[in-house]
Amino acid sequence: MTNLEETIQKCASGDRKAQTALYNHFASKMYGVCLRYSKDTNEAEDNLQDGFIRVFTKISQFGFKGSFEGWMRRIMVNTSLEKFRKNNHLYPVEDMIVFEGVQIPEETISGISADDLMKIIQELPPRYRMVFNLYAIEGYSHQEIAKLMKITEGTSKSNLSRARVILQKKVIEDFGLEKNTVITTLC
Amino acid sequence: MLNGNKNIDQLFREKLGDYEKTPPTFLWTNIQGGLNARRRVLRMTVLKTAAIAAALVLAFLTGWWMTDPDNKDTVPQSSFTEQREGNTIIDQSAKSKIQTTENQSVDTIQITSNHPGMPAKGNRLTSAKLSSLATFAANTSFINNADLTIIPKSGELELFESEKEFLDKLHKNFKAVEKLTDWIATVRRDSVHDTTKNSKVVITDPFKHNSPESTVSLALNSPARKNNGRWSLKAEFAPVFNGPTQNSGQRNDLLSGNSQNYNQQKTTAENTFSGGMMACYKVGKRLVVKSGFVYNNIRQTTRNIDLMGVNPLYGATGNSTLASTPAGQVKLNKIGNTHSDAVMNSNYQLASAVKYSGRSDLKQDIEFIEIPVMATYKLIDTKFNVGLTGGISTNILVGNKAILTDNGERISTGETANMRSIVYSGAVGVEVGYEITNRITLTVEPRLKHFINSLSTSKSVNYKPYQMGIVTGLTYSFN
Repeated sequence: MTNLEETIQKCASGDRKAQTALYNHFASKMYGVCLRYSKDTNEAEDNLQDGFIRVFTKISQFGFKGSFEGWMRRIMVNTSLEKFRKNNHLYPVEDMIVFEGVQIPEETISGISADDLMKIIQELPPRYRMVFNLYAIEGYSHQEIAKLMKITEGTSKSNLSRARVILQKKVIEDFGLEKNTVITTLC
Repeated sequence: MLNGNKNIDQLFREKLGDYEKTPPTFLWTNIQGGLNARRRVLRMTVLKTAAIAAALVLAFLTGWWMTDPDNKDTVPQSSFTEQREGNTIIDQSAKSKIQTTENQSVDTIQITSNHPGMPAKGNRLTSAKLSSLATFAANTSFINNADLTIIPKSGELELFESEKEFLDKLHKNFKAVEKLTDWIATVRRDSVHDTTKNSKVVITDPFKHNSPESTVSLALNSPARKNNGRWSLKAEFAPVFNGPTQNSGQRNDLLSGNSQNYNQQKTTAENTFSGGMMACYKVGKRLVVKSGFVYNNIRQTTRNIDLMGVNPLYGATGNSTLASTPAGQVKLNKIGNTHSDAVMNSNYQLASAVKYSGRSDLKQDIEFIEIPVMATYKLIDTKFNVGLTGGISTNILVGNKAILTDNGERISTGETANMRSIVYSGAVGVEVGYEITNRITLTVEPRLKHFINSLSTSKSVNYKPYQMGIVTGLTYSFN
């Protein structure tokens, strides 16, 4: 894309060619974001579609004050969070699961691809997936996460902790480490 | 060794932070379709708004034109011609100066006459005749002379240069015409009364003051009261207070009494509103019957709702979640993540169903279009009036929504099952009214409404709520 600013302005006026160009330029990256926040590809596709419709509807509000990619990414994250809030409103009456933390040998890490990690992160319970993504990858603080997800900071911290433990365990289980080599620590 | 939280975060951030994958090609087609649909919706919204606005303006203009007394009582030129020839109010010598103004209007009164100079029954009494009648009325000292600046004193006839001049004066003194109308109505009442005694009401011909042998019998067709058109239109609006909800007993069947949270679920009725239009017809002096269309709804909220869904642990399948309320069972669309995230207390698990408990509230909205047939008997029928109202209504179900919310945010929708499409109700009230003008009356009516049959077709649900409304109405009388 030669001139992003010009393309954005054309998109704001409803130019379909400019919209196509913008989509082609950013679709892969944004699909990657949506995949991280979704449980599977179907949900990610839905979020990407809704997110891009929102981008083109609100593009005239973009003030050219920061990164356009960052602005789009926030829209994709917010779209995914809204979908999460819409679909995940029942809370456990009683949490009976005992979580444990593990340490992973470094040699395991090199054999893990991004696609493998994406699969693992998609298997996380939605609440943990959201908090882990927002904190560990997007860099939000617990205070911001609490506001975004309408939970308390304490819940955000607890969810992050549990997400980390589940991810660690998954990495160990999925990449062939003997169970007895896993050093188990209580969270 | 990947040790500690920082490193697991780093692992995922490095490998997934800039993760890219080409989305399927059909997605762009879907996005374009979505954008086009939004444009269509926007365009349609603008068109609909414009159409509604245009329809309202047109309806207002039509109504205004139809009910405008000036427009309604336009006097044709022939009447003026007859006037000039048939009475002495306008000086014959000034006849040539009169510029007939066709479509010029004045208030008219229907009269009958056996006098050759008077128009036949059903003809309109035009300005000149009104003036003559006013003269007569003034002679009877029924009307306050202070109001009658254009009405000549006894024995005198005022001359006008033109009809326009006369009409202008007449309009300026409209109160005089009103009083005259009242007076004529009074005469009519008296004449009806006297007729029963076989006496004949004789009124001196106002067109020939010096001819006592000339008489005219006025039999006015207008009703006795000034604001007593038989037909009227009433717009009404009411805040509605729904009565306490009843326990239908269905919940026990559903939960088998094994829920520890049973008592936490609580249903409360919420206040709503109703409003509509009624056509009213005055049957007798005091009885008015009404019918029309009224929107009405019943709303209740159940807090900490207990939900029943399929139990994935037992391999059950299904797409709906159930909740039980006093109005019956509510079927909600599948709630996205009930199977994986909202783990339930094992005490609540049944063989094929499981109870999910949360902080969610369930709001039920049941909407009706009501076709009432009501009657009001006026106990006091004056400017300030009081009446007893009663009647029955056919309620047609037009809306049945159930919304599951969490912290005010909608998370699932559905509907109350087994709702009856037509329900009957009865209502009683006391209507207090005040005539703001001759045509417009403001009413306030506390009204109690009770559903006669259950809103649900289910045999296990007997839900007949009652409602209390403070109905505020504006009545516009025709004729």
